[in-house]
Amino acid sequence: MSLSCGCHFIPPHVIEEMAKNGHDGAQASLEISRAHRLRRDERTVNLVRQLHPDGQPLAAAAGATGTAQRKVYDCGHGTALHVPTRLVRSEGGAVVVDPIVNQVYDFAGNTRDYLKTLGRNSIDNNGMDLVLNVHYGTNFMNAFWDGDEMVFGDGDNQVFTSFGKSADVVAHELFHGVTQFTANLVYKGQPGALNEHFSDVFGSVVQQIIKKQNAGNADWLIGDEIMGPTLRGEALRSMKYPGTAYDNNLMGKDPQPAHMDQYYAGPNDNYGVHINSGIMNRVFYLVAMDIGTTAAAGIWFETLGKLWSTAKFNDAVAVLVRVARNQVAQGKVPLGSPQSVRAALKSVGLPR
Amino acid sequence: MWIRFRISGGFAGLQRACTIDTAGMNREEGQEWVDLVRASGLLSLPARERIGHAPPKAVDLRVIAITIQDESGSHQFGFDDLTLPSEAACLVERLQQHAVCDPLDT
Repeated sequence: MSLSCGCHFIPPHVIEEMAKNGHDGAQASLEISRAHRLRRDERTVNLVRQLHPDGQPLAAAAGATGTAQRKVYDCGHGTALHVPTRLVRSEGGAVVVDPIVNQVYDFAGNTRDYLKTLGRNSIDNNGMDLVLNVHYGTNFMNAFWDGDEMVFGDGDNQVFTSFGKSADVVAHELFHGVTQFTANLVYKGQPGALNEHFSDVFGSVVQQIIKKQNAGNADWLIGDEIMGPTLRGEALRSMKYPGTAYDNNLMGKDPQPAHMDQYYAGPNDNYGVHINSGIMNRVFYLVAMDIGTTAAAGIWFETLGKLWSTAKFNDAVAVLVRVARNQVAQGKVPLGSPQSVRAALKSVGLPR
Repeated sequence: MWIRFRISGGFAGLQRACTIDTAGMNREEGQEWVDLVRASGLLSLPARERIGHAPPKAVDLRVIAITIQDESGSHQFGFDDLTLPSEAACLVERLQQHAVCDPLDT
């Protein structure tokens, strides 16, 4: 039975419930409904954004659909985003003097190209432009996705250097956009940890593609390129050995668990979104080692499209295994992939 | 003046904090912190503007918690990277220079 046409007559919560129970038609319908909702939200946002308070149109407003063009803005250590007069490199533009501008431009292009190989047209699958803001704030020690565009700080040059010089950071932030337009995982607790996990996974996958690496020779570290001069060799997260990425006086000790027995249930970090993601990161690493990064990433990407906003680890377990089985049947991944996924999940204590 | 500062989350997921107590400082140093707090405008904010959270679709933002105690009482503030008032950026940057890793609450 197809639910993708006529879905307006079925209440969204019923479709979501059917999707949770593994009904592929319902999952497809859920995805279409989400896309409609997000485009509607986006139109509203654009209507608001297209007019600056002074009445001037903001042509560069994020979220404009079209041809997935890259637009890099230099915040000049301020906090205003996509200021039209500060557009320093746009699609097809020449290399500029500032290496950070060129790096985020290239890494965003690499990620966009990878999305194409997965059959996706940019963040929203509708050619959304990739808006990247660099040199945000003063000594700003973070990178984030604001719901429409990416933002990168320069770090304090002690703990962190520029966040824009790392492919896994840029791909991580861009994939938060992809998650927003697919599963739209709530940024709290287990759905939030899944949100972070998918960004780490595809940040790592894009990095491996750029460096022409495979699961066996990749470092599986996140953020190692942005560590400050006194912290070289450290990283922010290890997908291979969660909890071992750093241990020093400036950063403290990596709190990521590698098993559900060490699950962090406290209130910090939106109830552990960057902490408990380590458990699922370890699962991806193990599966990639077994069937290859490309095949594992294919399973994970399809899973992201089938999850829903409140999905928890056990939900992801069920969908991952079902997707792996389907992809074996379609000849997309090697025989034994579902067993590889189950074994990896079991080794971290999932399902629970 | 007594200040408790905590910044957590963000892409790095670090938890860092510091406590500043001007009572133990020399006059000049203490005055510097008083001036920074005054320039931040935080104590002039109405109650409804002392807590600010970006829309839920913004992710990887750091969460900033500040408590300031002075002769007028105890004042609490909660922001993130997108909602921190620009006037308070200098104060937060200075506090970050003093912040050290802070163990997780469990």
